[in-house]
Amino acid sequence: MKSKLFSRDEIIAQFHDGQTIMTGGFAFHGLPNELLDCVIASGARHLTNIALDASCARLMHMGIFDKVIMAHSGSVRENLELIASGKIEVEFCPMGTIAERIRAGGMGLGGILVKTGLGTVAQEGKQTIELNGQEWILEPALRADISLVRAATADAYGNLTYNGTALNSNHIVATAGDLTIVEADRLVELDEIAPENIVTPGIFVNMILDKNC
Amino acid sequence: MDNRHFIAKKVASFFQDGDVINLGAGMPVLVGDYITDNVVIQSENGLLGSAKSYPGLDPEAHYFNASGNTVDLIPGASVFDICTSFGMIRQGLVKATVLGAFEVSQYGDLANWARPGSYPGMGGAMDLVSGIRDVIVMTDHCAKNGSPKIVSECTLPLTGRRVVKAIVTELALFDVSAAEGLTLVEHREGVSVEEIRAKTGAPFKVAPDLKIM
Repeated sequence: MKSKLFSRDEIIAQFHDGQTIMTGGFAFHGLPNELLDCVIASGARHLTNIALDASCARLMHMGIFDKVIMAHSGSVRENLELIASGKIEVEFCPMGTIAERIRAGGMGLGGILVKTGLGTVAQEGKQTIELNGQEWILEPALRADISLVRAATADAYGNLTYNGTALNSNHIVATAGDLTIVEADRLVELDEIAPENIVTPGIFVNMILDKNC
Repeated sequence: MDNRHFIAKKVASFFQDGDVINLGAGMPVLVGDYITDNVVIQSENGLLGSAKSYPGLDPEAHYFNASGNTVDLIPGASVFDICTSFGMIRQGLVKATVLGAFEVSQYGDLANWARPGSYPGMGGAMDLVSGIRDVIVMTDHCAKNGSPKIVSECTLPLTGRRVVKAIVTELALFDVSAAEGLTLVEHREGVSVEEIRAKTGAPFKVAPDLKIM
């Protein structure tokens, strides 16, 4: 199988102004921190971040993101102040809903129907649909130009496993990027992960950070 | 026992062996200190069967709860992705969720995610109140400025409409009915019904068999 290992510089060259960047991780755990460093090093600006929460706060505060689509800002004072100042556009989406929107994006679906948020501002401006006698909110799928993923192990084809609760959003994020880039705690040989233990099949992965170059 | 632990112990008494419960960030986490061994804690970031949580952040740890704290797991625990987590929540497999409140109305409307000038985001709260049958609010009876948190109508953006089934404060336990409104079922020893009325911003009935908390 053709290796998907790339150098830091080759990965940095992928980021450009105006892209949508989806990131795995939650509550500052399971974040692709070295790939976020690559985003910073690229100098790209006016990015949109899609994530479960504001775990990419350091990029938010550097003014790299124009917009964040997320469920929660982490209740960190600096984040709350930044959002209240209007310097960054925030689109809040309930966590289970944003998760399924990402999954739908990765699975080739156009959107999902949810009850979450009926009768709240989460319904505002959205189409509702009656199906089987029940009311549902239509939520469109989410995809990104680039997905950034943190894995526990990766082989050179991009087959991935995750560490504990870092599984969280990393697997679905890996499936929903036009270009999916992975950093792994450990690179392993092609036959080292038992096929049935692979969480994300390598077909979803385009580039793996080679930390040795 | 301080008020927060007093409330947490009361809330924990609602649960029976075999129940699966979800505890929101902040004060609800304390409920975990008082449940019996056979009540299972689900954490919406992707964990079923968390034991005690530790406020410290151990970078070597693999398991975290939705507040981002390190947790131990109980035997039989499982870890899964964020979509699976909200799937069990939407299906109603999680029996109860315990959440904090900025405001809660007499008919069970809940506002706990946005205040003027401060938008932390709804996180998973909208999904939780939409999918879980027993929504229990634990909160200080009044806000820090002394204003009632239990009100006739919420003024803040809602997390859910007609979703709360019980409210537990340091003064009182109310049953909440979407049709009938509030019923005071227990009061704290030494706290009169008149005092509770003075500190509650909504009318309530008093149960004929009113008990001491």
